[in-house]
Amino acid sequence: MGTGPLVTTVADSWRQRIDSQQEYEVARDGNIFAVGFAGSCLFSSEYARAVRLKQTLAEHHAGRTLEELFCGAEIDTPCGACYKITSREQIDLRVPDPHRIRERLSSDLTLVCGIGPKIEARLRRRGYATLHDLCSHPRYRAHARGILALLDRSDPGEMRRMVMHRYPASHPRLLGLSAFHAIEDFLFFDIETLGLFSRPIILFGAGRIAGGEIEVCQYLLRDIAEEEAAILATCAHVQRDRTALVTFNGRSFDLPYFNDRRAYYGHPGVAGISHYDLLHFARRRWKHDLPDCRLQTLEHLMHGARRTDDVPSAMVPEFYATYLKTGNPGPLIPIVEHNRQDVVTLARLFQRLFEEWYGNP
Amino acid sequence: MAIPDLLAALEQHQETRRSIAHIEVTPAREAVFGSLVPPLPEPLEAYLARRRIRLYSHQCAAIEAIREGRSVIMTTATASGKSLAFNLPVFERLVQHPDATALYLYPTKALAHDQLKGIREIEQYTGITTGCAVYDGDTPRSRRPALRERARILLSNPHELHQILPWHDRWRTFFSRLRFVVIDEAHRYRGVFGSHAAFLLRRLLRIAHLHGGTPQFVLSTATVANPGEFACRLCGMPVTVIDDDGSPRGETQFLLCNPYSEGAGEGSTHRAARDLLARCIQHGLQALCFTTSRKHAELLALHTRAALVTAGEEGAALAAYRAGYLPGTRRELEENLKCGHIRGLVSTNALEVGIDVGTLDAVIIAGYPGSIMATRQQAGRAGRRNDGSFAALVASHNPLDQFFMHHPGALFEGASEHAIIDLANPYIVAGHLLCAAAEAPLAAADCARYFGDGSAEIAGALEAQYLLRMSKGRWIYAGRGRATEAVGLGSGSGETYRVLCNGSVLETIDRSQAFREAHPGAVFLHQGETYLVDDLDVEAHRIRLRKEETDLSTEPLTTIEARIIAGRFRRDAGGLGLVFGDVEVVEHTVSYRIKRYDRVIATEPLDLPPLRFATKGVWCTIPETVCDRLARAGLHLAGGLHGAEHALIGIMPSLVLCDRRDIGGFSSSWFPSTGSPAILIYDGVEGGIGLAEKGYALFEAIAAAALAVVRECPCDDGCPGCIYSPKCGNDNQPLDKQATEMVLEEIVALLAGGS
Repeated sequence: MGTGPLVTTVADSWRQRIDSQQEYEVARDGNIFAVGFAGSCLFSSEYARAVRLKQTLAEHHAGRTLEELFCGAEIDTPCGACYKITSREQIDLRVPDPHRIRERLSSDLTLVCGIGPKIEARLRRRGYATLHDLCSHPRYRAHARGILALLDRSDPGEMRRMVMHRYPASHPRLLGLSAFHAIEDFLFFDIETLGLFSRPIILFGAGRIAGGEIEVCQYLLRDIAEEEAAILATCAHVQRDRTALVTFNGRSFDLPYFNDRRAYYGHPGVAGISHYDLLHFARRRWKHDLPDCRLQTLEHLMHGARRTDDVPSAMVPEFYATYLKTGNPGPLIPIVEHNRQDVVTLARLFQRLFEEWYGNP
Repeated sequence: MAIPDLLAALEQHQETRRSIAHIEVTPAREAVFGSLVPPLPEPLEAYLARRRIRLYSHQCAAIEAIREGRSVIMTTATASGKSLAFNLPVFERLVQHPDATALYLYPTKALAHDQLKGIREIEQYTGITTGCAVYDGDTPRSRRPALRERARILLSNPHELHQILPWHDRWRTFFSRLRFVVIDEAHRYRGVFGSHAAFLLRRLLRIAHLHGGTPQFVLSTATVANPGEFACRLCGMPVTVIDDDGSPRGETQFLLCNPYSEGAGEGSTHRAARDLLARCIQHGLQALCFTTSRKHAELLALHTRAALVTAGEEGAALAAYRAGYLPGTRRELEENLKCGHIRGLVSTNALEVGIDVGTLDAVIIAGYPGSIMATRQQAGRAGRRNDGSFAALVASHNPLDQFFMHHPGALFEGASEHAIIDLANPYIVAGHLLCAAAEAPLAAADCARYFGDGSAEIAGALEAQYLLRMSKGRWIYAGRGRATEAVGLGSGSGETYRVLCNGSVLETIDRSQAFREAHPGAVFLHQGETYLVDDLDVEAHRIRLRKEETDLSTEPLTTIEARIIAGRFRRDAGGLGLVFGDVEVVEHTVSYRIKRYDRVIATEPLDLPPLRFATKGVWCTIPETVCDRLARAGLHLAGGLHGAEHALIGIMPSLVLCDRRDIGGFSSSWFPSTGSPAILIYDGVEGGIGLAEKGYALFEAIAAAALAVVRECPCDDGCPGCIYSPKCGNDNQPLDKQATEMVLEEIVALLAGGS
C-alpha cells in the first residue's frame, strides 16, 4: 500500500471531500419556504451574525484554556476523565396534585376498553359517572376494577401504558401523569451533537430540581476522545432510580441519538424509563397560536426575551471544529450557554404546560 | 434440422461464406449426477422429488463444501442450477439451527426481486419458514424493524448494505446469528466497484464478528480465469472453487463472422448481423441479437424487418428491447417470447442482466461485447436442451474483435479473463476506514485484520486531518456529515461529479471519467440511451445534460504526460526492463471528435483544465540494441513504440477483465524518468485499480497477443483493426506498422529469453 506523501495526499483529498458536505443551507432573508423545506436552513443574516460571533469570540479569548473559561471540574469514570460544569438557577416548579389527577382519571369511563365517547354518554345518562360506579356494571366491572387497582398503585409507567391505549402521546392526560413522580426525579435532558446522525455528542446537559433551584450538570468534551467517559457520566444521571426524562423532541432525537452513541462504544442502550417529550404537548397547545413550535419560540412566548449571542444549532459543529483545530475555547461559550438555557427552559416550559392544562397548582 | 439447413444456406451465399472465420462445434454432453451423504433434510428432499430434480455433481460438491463450513465460489455455466446449489445448503442450515440467518447480496435491486421468487417457492414447498424478503432502499420504513428482527433470509444489494452498517446496533439480532453471506453474480464486483465491495464486505465481517456472527461466504459467478484468487480478494478469506460442471448441454454451433476479413471494405458489422438475424428467422429459429448500443439495436431491428419483408417473409415478429422498460412491458415481452409470438429480439447488453427470457434457438452478437465472459454469457442464452443451438459473433473493426477472429482458440478453449480486485488503492481504503470508524471504534489491530497492511498508516494520516480522532487506542470518526454519504461505491478518487438531467441525478462519476466522457458537447451514454452534455461545472462538480436521440458519438483527444514516482516490482531481460510502480499522469483533453459510426464528421476544441493524478503503471524500457536494429532497418522508432503501446492496450482486455478506457498509455523515444525509450500502461483510476499490476504479471502473454494482432492484420500501414486507437490524443501520429511489429517481436523475444 502507498507510503508517505501519497497517503498524505489521499487524506487531504478526503478532508476536502468530507468538509464539502453541507450540513445546512443559507437562504435569502425572508425566504420562509426554503426554511420550511430544507432540513436545516439558516437565513443569511443569521448566518452572517453567527460567523461574526465566532470570530469575535476567538479573538477575545485567544490564548486562554478551556478550564479557565468554564469553571468546572475533571471527573473520573471507568472510561477515562471528562469535564463537568455545574450551575444553578432559581426555579419554582410544582407538579399538579396527584389526587386531582387520579380523580380525573377515575371519572374517565373511556379508559375502559370498548367504551368510546358515545357509550360513555349513554352510561352517564344511566348514572355511571365514575369507574367506581362501573364496578357494578355487569359487562365492564372487571376492567374497571383493574384500572382502579392500577391507579391505586400509582406507578407512572404502568399508568402511562394504560392511558396510551386511549389517548395520543400529546394528550394532557399523559402530561398529568407527571404528578406521580417526586419532583427530584425529573431529569431535564438535552445534548449538542456534531450532526444529525451517528457523530459524536460534544455536550451533555442534565438538570435536576433541588430545593427551589435547578442544578444543571454539563459534560463538555475537551476532545472527541472524551465522549465515552461523558456518556458514562451522563448515564449515572439517566439511570438513577425512578428517573423521569423531560426533553424537547427527545423521543425522536436526543434519546435514540444517545443510545446510538452508547451502542457505538459497545454499551447497551437505555430503555424503559418514563419520558415526557414536551414537543408533543407544546404542539398540541400552541400550534394554532405560534408560527412554529421551536423551543426558542416558546421561550419568547413565556418571557418575551430573545436570546442574544446564540449559536444556531446547525452551526454548532463548525464552532466546535474551530475549537478542536485551534485549541481556542472562545467559540464554545455560546454552545455551553445555549445548552444550559435549553435545559432551564425545559423546566420552565414543563411548569407552563401544567398551568395551561391544570391551572396554577 | 433447422440449424444444419441454416449453415448450408450460409455456405451457399458467397459474401457470407467469405466472412466466416470459424465454426466451433461443441458436442452435446450428458448430465453427471451426484448424491449427498447424508441426504438433505426430508422437506428439501421431498421438494426436489416433487419437482423431479436430480442434483448434478457440481451441486453436490458445492453443498458438501458448504456443509463443512467452507466458503465456496461456483463458476459453472449459465443455467447449471447455481441458485439451487446455494439455496439448498442455506435452507438445510436454517432447519438445523432455527436461529441462523443469511444475507443474500445482488448487484441490483431488480435482481434481488427476481430471485426472491425462487426462495419463496422453496419456502412454500417445504414449509421451512424463513420470512425471506427484500430489504433495500424501497422497503417501507414501517416494515423494516420487523424484517430486521424476524426475517432469516434477507436479500439486498451493496448500496443498501453500505447504508445499513452504521445502524448495526438495530441489526444486532440478525448479525449475531449471521451464518451465510451469499453473493450472486460475483463477477460484477470488479474494477472500482469490486474494490469497494471487497472493503464493504470486510466492514460487514467486522460488524458481524462484533456481534458474535461468523458467516461463511457463498459466491456464484460467470466464468473467470482466476475464480479462487478473485473470490479470496473479494471476501477476504480462502474460498473453495467449484467448477466441474455436471449439467447437460445440447450441441452448439458457434460461428465467427468477420466482415472485415479483407480489411476495411464493403462489409460492416451491422449488415452482417442483419443478414444473419434475417436468415435465422427465415429458417424458423427464434433468435436473440445483442448490440452494443440502443441506437444500434433499434436500427438493426428496423433493417432486419425490412430485409425480411423484401424476402417475402411478412409477419415475422421482431422487437427491440432496452433497459428502463417498466415491469409490465418487460413481462409482456418475456411472455411473447416464451409462447413464440416474437420470433426475434434485438437488445442491448441490458438483457444480459438477469432477465428471464428462457433459452432460444439462436444468439447473434453484433460486435464483441468487451469480454470473453460476456460473450459466453450471451451465447449461453441459446441452447434448448434437446435440439442443438446456434450462436454467432460478428466482429467489429478493432484489435480485440480481429484477434478473436484469427484466434478462435482464445475464445473457446482457454479460461476467460482475469477478474481484478485491487485492495491497495489508498483512496478507496481511506474511504472505507472512515466508514468503519463511524460504525464502531477502529483499533489498529482491526485495520491489520480487515483492511490490509498499510491501512493503519492511512488511518494515521486521516487522524492528522481531523477526520479521525484517537480515543483509548481506537479511532473514532470525527468528520462532517455521514461517512457513508461521502463514500460512493462507484467512484475511486476523492472527487466525484453529479450527472444531472432535468434536475435529477442520473449517476455520479469520478473526475477522470467526467473529463473524458462528459465534457461539453460530448454524447454521453447512460443505460444505452444517448444524452448531450450541455455543461461541465468544475467548481460545483456538476454535469448538466439533456436527452438527445442521436446516432453520433464523440471521442475525446487527450494529450498525456507521465512521470515515474517509484518502482515496486521489476524484472530484467536482456537489457529490457519491465517495472510495476507508482506514476503521476497529467491528462489534458484538448479537443474531441464527432463521429457517425466510424466516420469522423468534425473535430471541436475544448477548454478543460489538465487532470493530474497519481496512479499505478507498468512500464517497459527498450534497450539500445533494439533502437539500433530499427535504425538499421530504416524504421521509425517513435512510430514503433506508439504503435506497440496502442496494440498492447487494445489487446489487454482479452486477458484482464476491463474496458480499454480503464487503462491509459504513454510512449516516448526518450522517457525522462527512465532515460531511455519506453512504453507505459497505467490505470485510468486515481490510486490504481489493479489492472497495471495484473498487466505486469501477464506481460508476456499480452505482448505475444499484441504481436499476433499486428502481424495478422491484412492492412499495409495500420488500421483500427490493429494499431489505430480511437482515443489517441496525437490523432494516431506517428504510427509505423512495420516498426511496431519489430518492437513487439523484440519485446516478446527478450522476455522469452530472459525468463
